[in-house]
Amino acid sequence: MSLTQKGRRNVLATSADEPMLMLLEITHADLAVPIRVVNDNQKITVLGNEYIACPFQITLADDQDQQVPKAAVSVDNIGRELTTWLETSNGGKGAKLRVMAVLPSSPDILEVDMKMDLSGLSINNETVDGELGYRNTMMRAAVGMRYDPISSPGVF
Amino acid sequence: MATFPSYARIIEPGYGEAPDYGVLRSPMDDGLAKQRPRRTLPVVGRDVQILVLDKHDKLEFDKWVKTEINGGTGWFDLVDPVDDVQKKARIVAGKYRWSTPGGVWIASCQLETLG
Repeated sequence: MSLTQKGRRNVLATSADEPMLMLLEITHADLAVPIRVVNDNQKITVLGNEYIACPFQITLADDQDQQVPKAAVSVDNIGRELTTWLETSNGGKGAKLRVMAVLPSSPDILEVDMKMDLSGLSINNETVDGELGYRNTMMRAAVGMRYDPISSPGVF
Repeated sequence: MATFPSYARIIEPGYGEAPDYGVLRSPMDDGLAKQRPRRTLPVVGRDVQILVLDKHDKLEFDKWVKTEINGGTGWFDLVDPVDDVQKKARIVAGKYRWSTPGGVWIASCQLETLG
């Protein structure tokens, strides 16, 4: 997804006139309403949904050989809002995370919009940490049974 | 939300403030650095001296911190001593320090406000 002209101007400006706000939306089968947070100090309404102010940190995807690109997210857990959900949802298995970015002056225009799988969730007193990425479906076997030295040692 | 007690006053001597928009600045070797704000509202750190007139008010203030703002962690409404606008404030790390020159009591602390 490419940035709008206004977004591009903001990113390239030597002194940007407003922040580019990052938004997170965590969806899961056990969540009646998705968790929506914005990395700012006041809440914002984007496309009719309210995002509450909550500090978080995103580490962008790496490019390592022999592995799918992985990013990481760390959300503030001081208020313990996420703890109950994590306990009742088997550690948030199957959760999806949508990462968005908007400019406060035009909150209904998404400058960035990505949806990723959220896995490897861990929690401590201060943060909820998780890994972002895509399931490595390209490395999965295409058939249920295949001939290899383990399943058919006599062939090799 | 709790309100800053009316018997306590923020006095002018020793007052200071530092607004922070969390500006990101590119750490390049040369050329014009890029800067961008990270927040829409500044978090304003304020060094304040809070004056109460007697021991009774000092004890009341301690009680207010304990019960109303949960040991100094909670937000409260504060009328900004500079522009007289009501803002959300809290005591940084819940720490404040009393001293008395005799009679009145003065608490030194750091507040942070939104905006």
